[in-house]
Amino acid sequence: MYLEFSEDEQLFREAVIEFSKRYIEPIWVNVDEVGKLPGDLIKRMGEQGLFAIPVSEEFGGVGGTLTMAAIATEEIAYYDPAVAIAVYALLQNGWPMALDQFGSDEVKSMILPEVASGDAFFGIASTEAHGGSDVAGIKTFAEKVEGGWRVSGEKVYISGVREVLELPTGGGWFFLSKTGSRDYGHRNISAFALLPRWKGDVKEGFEPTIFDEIGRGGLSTGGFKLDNFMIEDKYLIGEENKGFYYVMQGFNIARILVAAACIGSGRWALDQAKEWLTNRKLFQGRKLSSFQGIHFKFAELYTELEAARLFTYKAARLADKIYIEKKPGFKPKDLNVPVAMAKLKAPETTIRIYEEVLKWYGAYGYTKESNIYRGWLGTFSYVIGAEGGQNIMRIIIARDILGKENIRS
Amino acid sequence: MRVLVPIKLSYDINQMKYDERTGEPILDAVPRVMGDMDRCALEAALQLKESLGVVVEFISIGSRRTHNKLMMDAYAMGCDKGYLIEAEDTNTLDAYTVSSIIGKFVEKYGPYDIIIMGATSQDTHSSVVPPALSALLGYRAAFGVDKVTVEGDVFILEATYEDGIYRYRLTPPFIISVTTEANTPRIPKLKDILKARRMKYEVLPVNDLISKDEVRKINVTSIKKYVTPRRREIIEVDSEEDVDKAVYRIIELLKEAEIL
Repeated sequence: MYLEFSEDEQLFREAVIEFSKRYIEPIWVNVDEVGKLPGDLIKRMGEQGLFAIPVSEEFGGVGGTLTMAAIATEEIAYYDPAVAIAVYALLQNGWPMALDQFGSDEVKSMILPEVASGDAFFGIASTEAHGGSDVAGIKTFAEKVEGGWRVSGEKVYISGVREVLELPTGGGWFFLSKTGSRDYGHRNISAFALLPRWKGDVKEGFEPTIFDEIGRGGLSTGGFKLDNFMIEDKYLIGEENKGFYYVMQGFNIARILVAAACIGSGRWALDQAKEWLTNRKLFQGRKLSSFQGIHFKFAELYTELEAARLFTYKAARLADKIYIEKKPGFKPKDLNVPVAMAKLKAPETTIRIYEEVLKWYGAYGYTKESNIYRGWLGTFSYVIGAEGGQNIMRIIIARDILGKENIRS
Repeated sequence: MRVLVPIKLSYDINQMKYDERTGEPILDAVPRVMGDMDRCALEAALQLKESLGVVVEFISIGSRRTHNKLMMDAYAMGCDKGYLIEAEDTNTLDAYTVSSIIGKFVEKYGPYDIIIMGATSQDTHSSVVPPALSALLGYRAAFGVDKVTVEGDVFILEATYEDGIYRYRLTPPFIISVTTEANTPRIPKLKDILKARRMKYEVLPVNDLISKDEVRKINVTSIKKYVTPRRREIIEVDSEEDVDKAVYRIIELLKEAEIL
């Protein structure tokens, strides 16, 4: 695949770069330090059309593509290498796109325009305390009652809890719950648009908590308990007990954007390194870049990052064929391996880049003044498992290439 | 009221590449973009569109192959109509020829009430086209404008020159060139970029405006990278008394360098 961007994609990239230089680059360190995204920045990003990019115009989206969302995420992450702002943007593109694909017209018309404008947040709430990778093992249960569902349970490590509480309209999540039976498995999971706060106070039965994370400081991560929380029927996404299949497709979409965020941050780190290695001199005037031990490693990492970039945009182009262009012959499962490769490669490469750049910077890299550590900590969440653990990516690739029956122990 | 903004596809001077051995620029490897001042000219026109309801048209000289993105860019900012004067090798057209082409276009497709241009192009920096065009058309003019305001039918245009601020009061038709101080250009939104993709611009052969004999080309004999020599001086400060001395020395150095 030859990676080439169309003229409108190039123009869009230039526009995102200009926006990021003007409004993100001057504040990213402060956002990371203070630990909060400024409300006016979120609003401005919405006005600029940086949210709900791959969502149809009919439901308030921009009417663009996932490739364009990846371009936006990559460039925002370059100017916010700590990735809080980039991750906010990726969530506000990935999960609204998933809702656009599987939600009812009534709910899409209600939620998506508010997300696109930056007035509401819509993310993903799947993980529970037993472990995020084991989706089939969730315990939250929704009991069918007259007119809706009564839900009880607890979600943890969920992005956007504070934003839901503080944004003008509020928001919520693409939310998973067991329905019908509490048994272990994925055939009894349904997806809902959970909106604990929407144009008013927090609804009864929702108890939020905010966690203190080591990186990506601007975007909140937290959890919430649901105690007999009522969800109206209309908020069921797609068919009952099919939520697992919808969320897996949503993860495929979001993972492409996660990879794009890592690439943007990694590119920034390599650019910092290039400047440092070609200017810093020691041992009687030798540039750091003149040492083979350094420039060989730089070349390797540069190559690895470019490979990750190709994986990412290949997956994005394929997702566009499936979900935006709806081309016959392309199926959602075709995305599994390309996406898993992008999500496997991009975060791990970026972390390796940061670890080397920190060493090249020497003692200065270990100080908070250098800011390199902010990108390292920010992107590290994606080798831990946000939007899918790395070993889950390996399982997906092995399963689809070797065959499910051949990888079981 | 019709406003015309001529724009140029310039070399992106922030991404210049040079041959390490000869110092010559490798122009084929340099991306070309709309210059910052041209973008400010479009922004000034679009602000008039918002405040006075003027129609904003733009014109560029080049080929569809190289200029399509530039034309989309102007549409994405919010312009109403675009014209591409089709010509090859536009980088070697001299400023008088460029002015003549635009002048003939205005005579044929005008009248335009206001022409707004960037004060100078991003790459060649000649600043010749706006005054030459005003002379050819016989329009009143103000150059290097960094503030545009409107009072009734009168446009008040401020320009900062070496000897002070000049304030022009003009009524259309007139031509102005603007600096980057004039405004902060809007960033095209994705929705507008997607719309721009579908918008058509009119393509006119250059020979419809001027004959081959009238085309004058510049002959670039040499372009070299020029690196401003750096001067370094270490001012040691060991005590509080040294601080004042150091400050005076820094001021002295800045005066020598004609920065102060």
